[in-house]
Amino acid sequence: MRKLFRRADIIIIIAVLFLSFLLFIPNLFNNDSLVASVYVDGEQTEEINLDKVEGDYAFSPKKGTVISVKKGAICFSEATCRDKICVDSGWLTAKGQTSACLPERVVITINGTDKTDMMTY
Amino acid sequence: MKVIDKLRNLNKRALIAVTVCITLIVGIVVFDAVRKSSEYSTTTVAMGTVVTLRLFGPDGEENAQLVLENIDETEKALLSRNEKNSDVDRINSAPGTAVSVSYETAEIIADSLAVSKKCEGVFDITVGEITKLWDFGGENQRLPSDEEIKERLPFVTYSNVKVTDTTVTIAEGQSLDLGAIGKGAACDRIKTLLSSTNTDSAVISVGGSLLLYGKKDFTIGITNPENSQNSMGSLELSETFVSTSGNYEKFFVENDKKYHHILDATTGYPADSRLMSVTVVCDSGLLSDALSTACYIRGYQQSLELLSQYNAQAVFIFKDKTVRITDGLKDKFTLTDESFVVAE
Amino acid sequence: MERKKTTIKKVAFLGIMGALALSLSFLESLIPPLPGIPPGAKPGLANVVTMFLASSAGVADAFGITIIKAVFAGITRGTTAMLMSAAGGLLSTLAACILLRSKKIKLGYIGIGIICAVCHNIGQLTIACFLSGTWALVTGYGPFLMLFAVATGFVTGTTLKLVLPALEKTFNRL
Repeated sequence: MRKLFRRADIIIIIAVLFLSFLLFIPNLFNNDSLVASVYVDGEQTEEINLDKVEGDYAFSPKKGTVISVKKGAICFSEATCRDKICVDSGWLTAKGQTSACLPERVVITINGTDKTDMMTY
Repeated sequence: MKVIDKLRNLNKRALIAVTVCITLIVGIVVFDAVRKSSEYSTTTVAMGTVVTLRLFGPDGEENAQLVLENIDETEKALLSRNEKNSDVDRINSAPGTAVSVSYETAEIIADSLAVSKKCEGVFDITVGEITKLWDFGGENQRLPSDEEIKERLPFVTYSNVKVTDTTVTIAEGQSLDLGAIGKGAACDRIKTLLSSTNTDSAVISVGGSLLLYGKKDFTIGITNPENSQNSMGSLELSETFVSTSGNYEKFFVENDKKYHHILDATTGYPADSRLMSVTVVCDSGLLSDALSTACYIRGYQQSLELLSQYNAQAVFIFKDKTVRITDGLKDKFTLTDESFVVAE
Repeated sequence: MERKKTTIKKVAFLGIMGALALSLSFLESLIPPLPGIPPGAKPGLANVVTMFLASSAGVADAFGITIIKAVFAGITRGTTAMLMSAAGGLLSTLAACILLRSKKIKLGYIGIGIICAVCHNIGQLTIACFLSGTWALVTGYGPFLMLFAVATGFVTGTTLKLVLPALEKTFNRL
């Protein structure tokens, strides 16, 4: 009959604990990058990793709208529409946030959701 | 001995047969699971609002295209009052005459009138002439004068609309605005469409009005009315419709007063409510939209009866940041923003 | 060999073992989610049954019960649960068969229990990643499952050592 506990078991325990630690290491470095997508007329035109943005810049995905990008954030900075809801909604900085310029049919959304599948508003 | 040998052989064969069967079953199950797990998502602008689709199952891209076409159809052929020759446009341009429309439009209007009746007219689709004055989010958004509103208010009377299976008649001076229920009605139509496709499950947002389709649990974030990019809590739901009415969606400020887009059809002015938002969950998109508007205007106490009549559940968020939840949602709600307080 | 003439009794015994495994996994499903413990992680007492079968009955018996357990999970809790149970169960049963039947491997029951628990969790995690389509679970969930496996391996290994003499006595009398 086998023994309940042998010296080799200690090695197994240490090995498993070490494995657990190894698997945990990536968590220390990786804060889940923020990736923003820009959709124009329902087609995705840009995908920007906001964590890797170096220096601020702006671009125009479609006539009448300007999108500004800086490290960790993205927003509509100019729009020709009257109400400016998209500009007023400010910088998007967290997963699941969306801003849209309805008249020009341009949508920015930060990919991934913080555990929610969809927002109701 | 021979018998035993035969038995053993049989045993072996049976074992092989069972193994093959199990491998087949597992194979089918794995295939099915992989098929169901494939997701297609897209975001676009339709019906004058942001539409987000997340479809689970095969042929996601094709089915998403069908959904978007369906939404366009809801807007252009049925419900938009700004689209020439939509059903609603034709009704509005011929007051006093019975306009023949699609049975879907007739049904949507009949359902809306039924809600109006139950909530004593605070929600009313004949509010068109008054919403035109305010024009929230439009080119001519402004604060109308008391006279202008008083002049048009008598025509906001849902009981003057006559509906048959295929015709709708409005009275002189009236005009329909289905803006309050259009997104929910679009969700209803999408549900019918999806059930004719091979989509396993889906969550679809038409401007914040949601359709949760298929046997899959979804976590739905409720927007924080004070910071509309974030959520204040979440609901764990499946196979239902969700809609929210809040004072933060469309509004403007004039003379230090905030005017939001949820108009009380009995006064013609934005509802003076102690609420910031109401989220309604029920098994019809149109009803969830209509009820969230009606509940926002009527306030918490006056809404409970109305909700129970439609077997609907709701989350009320008050201006003092207390949250009240109807019994059916209590164990499905999780508060994520601690600055809100759930009242017992 | 004596095995041949005891088939019926053995079948009955295996039936009881199967029922035991099922009731143990049902009992475990009643444990409410506890804070600090990864959701879905269970002590794995049903593994004691398959480990016993692997060591004393036969490889085929152990795998048979594992498959029955998975099918039962499929019937009562749906296909996802079935896949998870099958992947975890088959992998840990394989480990149990190799470790417990080999005379060369000098491990105690606790060590074997831990390895079986680790294999069980690896199987389940693989299926979970496959179904959710994200391998982020490996790093997000894996470390905690591994730690938990040490604890459950301790429990199952000790339990096995305690019940094995009695079970073996019964089994050998068949």
